Amino acid sequence: MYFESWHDFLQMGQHGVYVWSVYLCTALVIAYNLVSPALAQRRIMRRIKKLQESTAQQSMHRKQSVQINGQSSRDILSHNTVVEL
Amino acid sequence: MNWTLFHQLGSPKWFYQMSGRWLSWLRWISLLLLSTALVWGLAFTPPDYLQGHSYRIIFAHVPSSFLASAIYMMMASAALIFLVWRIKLADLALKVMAPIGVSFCLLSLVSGAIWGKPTWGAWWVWDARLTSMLILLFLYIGIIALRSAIPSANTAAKACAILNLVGVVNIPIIKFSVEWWNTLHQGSTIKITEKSSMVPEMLWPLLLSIAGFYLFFTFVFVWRLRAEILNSEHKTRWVQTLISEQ
Repeated sequence: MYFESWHDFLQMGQHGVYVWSVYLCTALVIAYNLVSPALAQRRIMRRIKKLQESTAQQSMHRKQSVQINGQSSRDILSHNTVVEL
Repeated sequence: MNWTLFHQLGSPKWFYQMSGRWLSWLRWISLLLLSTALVWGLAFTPPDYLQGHSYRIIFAHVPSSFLASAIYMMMASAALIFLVWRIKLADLALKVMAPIGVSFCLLSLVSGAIWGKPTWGAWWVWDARLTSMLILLFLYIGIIALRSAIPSANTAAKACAILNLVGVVNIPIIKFSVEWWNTLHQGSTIKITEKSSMVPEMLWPLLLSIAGFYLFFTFVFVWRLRAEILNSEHKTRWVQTLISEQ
């Protein structure tokens, strides 16, 4: 280490405030660049999962309604009509 | 010329699968380099004969300034690729690079201002280098704002790419501002073609810090791009299976 003591290291001969505040800003920028993509990734994953769940639910509803419709239409249609689901 | 690699790189799925392996390596190497370089510069280098200890700001100021203009140029290359070949991945790259660019441009300006106080006696002067760097920050913010202001994704992508390319004019102005105008800002200390005007004890941690900042940028960029690929490709089957497997 170049400095004699911790006090020297913090003081840096009158320039401590400037040097340390720049290093603090650097740490903040690095932290931002680590946190922001992590949050973005989580947000995107959640959104896709939610979309997936809602489409799964929709298709289940559709299946059910087709079944009901199929049943009713089968009653109306002739006996040998096959309703494919 | 073999275009296979070019088109493979342009495929979001291929990029996503390949980049997964790079990511953890990039993370640890870049963080290790960055912390080593910053601690080295902060505690293990001799003070400058003229500026004393305040010159230690160089280890954050110079790499972030380099990155701020380099990211802009990378965005401009992506913009050109997007406009010419309509490669969607290039637009996604442009989109995710912009906030990283803003953060490093801000760091460059703030660290420069803090360095200016003990060295020039002023936080800010309207000098060519500082002003052109401020314009770069506004260009970055402008590109981000433009994208969010246009509702149609395709139009927004084109407009951002064009604004990005027009703003390239500013890059040589930043680079040569210290030579073209009479300025307070010093000329470059590191030169590629001739000998650098810095002693090795100071030059090595600075070079290491520059390498660390670039690698860190690459890591953050790949990370963000992967998330953005999932976002834009969420309807495709490979993303659907990938998400449901998790």
